[in-house]
Amino acid sequence: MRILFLFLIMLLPAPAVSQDNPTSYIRANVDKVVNILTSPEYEAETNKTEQLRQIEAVVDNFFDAEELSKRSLGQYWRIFTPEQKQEFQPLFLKLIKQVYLKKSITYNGEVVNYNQEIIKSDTLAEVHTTVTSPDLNIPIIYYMIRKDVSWKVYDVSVENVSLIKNYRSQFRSILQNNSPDKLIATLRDKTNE
Amino acid sequence: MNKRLLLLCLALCMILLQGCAGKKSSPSMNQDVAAGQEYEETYGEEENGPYPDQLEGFNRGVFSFNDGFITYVFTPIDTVYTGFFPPDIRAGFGNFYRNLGYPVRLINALLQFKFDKMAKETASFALNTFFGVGGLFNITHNMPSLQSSPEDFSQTLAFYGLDSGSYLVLPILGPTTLRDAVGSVADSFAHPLSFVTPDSAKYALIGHDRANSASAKLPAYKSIKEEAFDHYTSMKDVYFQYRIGLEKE
Repeated sequence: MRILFLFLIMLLPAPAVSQDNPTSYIRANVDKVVNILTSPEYEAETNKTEQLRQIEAVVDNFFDAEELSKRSLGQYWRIFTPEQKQEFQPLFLKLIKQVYLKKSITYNGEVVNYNQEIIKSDTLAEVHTTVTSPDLNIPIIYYMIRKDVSWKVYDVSVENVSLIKNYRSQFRSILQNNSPDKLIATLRDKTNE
Repeated sequence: MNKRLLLLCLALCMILLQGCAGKKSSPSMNQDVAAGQEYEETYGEEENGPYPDQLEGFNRGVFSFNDGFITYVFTPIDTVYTGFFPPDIRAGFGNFYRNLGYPVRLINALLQFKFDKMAKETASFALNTFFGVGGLFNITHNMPSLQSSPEDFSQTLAFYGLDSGSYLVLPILGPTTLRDAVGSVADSFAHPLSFVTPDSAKYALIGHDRANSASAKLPAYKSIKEEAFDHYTSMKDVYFQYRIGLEKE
């Protein structure tokens, strides 16, 4: 009887990971990446490219390209023509993904703790986490926005240093003396490395 | 004599700082209206620069000197150092020196009436000293209730309303601000290492502390450099964001 009951439970569909709240969205994605990073499947050197491709697939939907771009350009967003905006967005997204990817492959068994979720409004939220290794705690905050169904990340801060604010400072200093096209060209060079 | 000199230095720096305080950049008029109110909430311009940098010409010169120093002098030394001491030992050194800096953090928490921080710092210090082999092990880092961001004299000055003053890049020592530089000098007098005799031992220990912590930060430095469009601006931004974050806590 008991075995039958267990069997029945196993037949039930696995509860889908809810992605409609910010923390579970981050948790689901971080867990996916960690699983890929720690999976024995990819231990062989020959499988590393496939591993990276898998992580990339997860990261693909993680960020909101338009929001990343707007916020990194700040007031300069308005001097970009629609064409320049169209060009800038995917390139900048690619850059952010590359940075995120580079950071994630340094993973070395750290534990991610989800400390706090701050819902700022219907469409804005922050997820505060701590990445703990044997001798270090690194606070990481994910800034999130919801435009349609799902939450997306528009900024990440590490030890209080926001990635997007950092790019914003740099873009400001570049755009003071250069045209948007110059910045787009630099961005293209940088992402093609 | 020494004390009088210090006071004079402090007074001079205060004057310099006050001079800079008046020149705070006006908040930008341009806000991205399309992105709506949340835009403003998240990125209030006042905290996102442009950060004061009246000494930019000088700073950029020293910055590129430092970058050369890091690349051609420090990195090779670091390779030998990290090859000789495994990560655990280097982390142990770092823990030891951080634990030793307890009086500095305590005094500055007191000066800012942050009594909860004083309690947390004291408990951490006691636990790490007695159960963490004199501070070599940071046993409290897994205890969320004992986490507290470090206080220093520059944050105390900020608490009493003093502006950061201009960004300043010092040879070898790296990024700071006028206020942070004054703060570090003041803090060094309360640091236990400054009471070590003879002087040779004192400077060897201070040097080792600095080098060990620089070694720990080297990978981060390299990745910032690699990812940067404008290395100088990026480092300045990281420095200010990090410091402003500490001041808020």
